[in-house]
Amino acid sequence: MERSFIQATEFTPMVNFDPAKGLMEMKGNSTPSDSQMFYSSVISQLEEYVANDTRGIIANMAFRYFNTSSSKCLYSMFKKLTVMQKDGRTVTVSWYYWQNDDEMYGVGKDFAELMNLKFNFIEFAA
Amino acid sequence: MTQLKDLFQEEDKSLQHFKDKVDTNSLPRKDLTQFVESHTDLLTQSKVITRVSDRLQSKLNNANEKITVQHKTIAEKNNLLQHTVDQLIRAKVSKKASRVLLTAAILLFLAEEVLLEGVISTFINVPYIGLAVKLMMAFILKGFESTLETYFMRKEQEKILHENHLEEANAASPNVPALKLERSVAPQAR
Repeated sequence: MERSFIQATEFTPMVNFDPAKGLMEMKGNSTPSDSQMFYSSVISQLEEYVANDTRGIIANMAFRYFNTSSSKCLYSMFKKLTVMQKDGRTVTVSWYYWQNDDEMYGVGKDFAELMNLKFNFIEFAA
Repeated sequence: MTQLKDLFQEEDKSLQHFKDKVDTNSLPRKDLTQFVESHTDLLTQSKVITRVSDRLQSKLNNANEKITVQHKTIAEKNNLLQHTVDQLIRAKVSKKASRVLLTAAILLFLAEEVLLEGVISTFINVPYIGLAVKLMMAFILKGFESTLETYFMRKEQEKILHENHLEEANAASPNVPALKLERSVAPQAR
């Protein structure tokens, strides 16, 4: 599997998925007009990684804002991470949020609580 | 709609599968268990999406509140700035009008002294008539001052409007060479 990198735009986040390092990173805003189209390749790659690799994963997430359909796509990704976790593989999710962004911190808490994943919360300086 | 369908394609597929099973009256325990799993997943998904959406809506509301406050502050500062600019323009126009009037007054007084004074004193034998004429001219000029100020004020406003129009036109067409501020009227086509 090859590394994939998508440059951030005003409406889509930076995506860096490096299967060789077991690293997945996302940073920025996520309000694409078609979230499914934007995230489908990342979800497929993650699915392939979950199915064909035996190592764990490090997921670094740093969102400023995302729309509802993006939250559905993030749910799909985190669901795959829970599958990995259930299989006994190490899953490390770091949820970055900007200083004073209580809502984004809360969003991370919701994902972690409802999906039974352990998140490390890291605050960015504003 | 198609996008939404694509977004929930796994869920749609699962529902269709279960509908087919119901239609054929074949519902073994294994399928029911699978249905419960799908339903549980959908419920979790609904909880996550609802909570996350509410939080992000709250974030948007906070951002909108901040924008409203900033907008109000900007409007207040803008009013203050506009008031200052108006005062400055008024002062500038007043100064210009005074300068024009002073020049006119000096010219008129000189003309009166050199040309009219002799003629008046020859035909009208009233003491201090020259001074009375000068006073009358001063009052007329004073009355003319406000008219002159209004005229210069209107000219200044037209100039500002013209400049604003040019700036807007240049901003709207960044690829077209910038229009220049020119006072001359374009020659009319014949």
